[in-house]
Amino acid sequence: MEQALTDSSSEARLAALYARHVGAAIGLARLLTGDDAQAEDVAHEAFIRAAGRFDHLRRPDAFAAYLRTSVVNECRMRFRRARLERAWRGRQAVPERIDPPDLETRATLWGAVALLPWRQRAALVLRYYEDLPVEEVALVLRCSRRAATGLIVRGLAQLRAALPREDE
Amino acid sequence: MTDLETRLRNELVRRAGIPTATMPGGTLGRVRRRQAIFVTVAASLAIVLATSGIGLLRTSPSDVGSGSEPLQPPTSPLERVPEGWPSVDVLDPSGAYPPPAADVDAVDGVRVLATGTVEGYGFSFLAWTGSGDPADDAPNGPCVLFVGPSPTSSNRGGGGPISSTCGHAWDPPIPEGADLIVTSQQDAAAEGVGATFGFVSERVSDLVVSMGDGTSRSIPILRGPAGWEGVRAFLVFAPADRSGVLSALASDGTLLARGSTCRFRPGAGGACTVEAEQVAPIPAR
Repeated sequence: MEQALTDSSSEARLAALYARHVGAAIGLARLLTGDDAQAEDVAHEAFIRAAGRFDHLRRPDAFAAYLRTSVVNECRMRFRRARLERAWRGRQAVPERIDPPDLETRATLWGAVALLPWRQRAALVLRYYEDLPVEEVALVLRCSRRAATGLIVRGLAQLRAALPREDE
Repeated sequence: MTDLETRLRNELVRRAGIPTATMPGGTLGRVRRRQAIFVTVAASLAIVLATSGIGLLRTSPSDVGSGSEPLQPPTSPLERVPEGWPSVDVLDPSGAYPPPAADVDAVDGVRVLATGTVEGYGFSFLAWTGSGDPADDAPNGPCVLFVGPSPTSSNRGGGGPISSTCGHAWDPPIPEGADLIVTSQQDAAAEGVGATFGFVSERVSDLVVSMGDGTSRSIPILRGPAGWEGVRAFLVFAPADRSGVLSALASDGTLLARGSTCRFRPGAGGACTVEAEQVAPIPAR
């Protein structure tokens, strides 16, 4: 299925590859950017990068991992380039109107995730959404295992501090 | 997992949703442009390497038995293998296995494409242009013969399993109907070492083998003797305990055909024929 591209059947195969992988990439990008439109754009760009490097030919089984790394890199680039993080934090402020307690907690949690520094947020998303072991989180974020562990621990600590204590 | 971690996971899954994606128009063109850039950069790097003295990549064909002067062992691309792959030593072509004349009906003699040892087991890879009558199913056109890798197939002759094949013997033949022909063999006494060889068409500029563990390499493409039109040969000693994917790429990165290397069970031996898949259409000649 994953193969390069010469004719209309190649386009069909590329479309199948796209359909299989890009949905998950959008989900990941959505968590990293907090913006649906940005997420689709990021996932699309990341797909073109990964397919353009023949990653789908070199290791078809690992294409999802290549794409995941491309998504994270693309998000990182965008945050650096356009200082989106600050704007995103503003957009993602905790909503004013919250009705049921469960929603309040969830919104608080998501708002706290939004306030995390980008690398901590990326580490938590990779660890708890993508279910990557710490070693792979470190690989994607291009840091040591110890640094990745630190990002996760500090991120969780900030979330814990942001949430209301159960005995309150 | 703590309560916070569980809640975080649930929230992330909920926020991510289950997006579906349909490929927008123009994606194919953008991917192709990126591939062209990728190939151009890779080719430029290869040229820089080749012209800066590392271009020791020539596998010198020579006539069997014709060299009265001993040749220096060439530094061959066959010897450049990823870590963990069988190690290859390419040796003096004058010591290659001499094929019995009865086996070879050659137009202009037999040439040694490569000979040496892999993990200490001898092998020889020979090529000639068959002069037989195709109407009689006689070897005709580009042909290769492989001996080994076998403990009894030394660089100075010896035995071991022998496979020979000709480009026109396949259906469809190469290059008229295919860009890639693959065959493999292993000697039961040379466990873990298999040879994969065959033909590629002149449209193929890069032949890559990728193993499931992430290792991959570009396979040297070897020029045949006079009379080989539109066809060249290749040989690779990939790890034999698992199968790898062969991708035959055009100069612009287009995948023309693909096949695989054979996975040999321990103690198994013999030839293994791989049906290559033609991916890109063959242009009318």
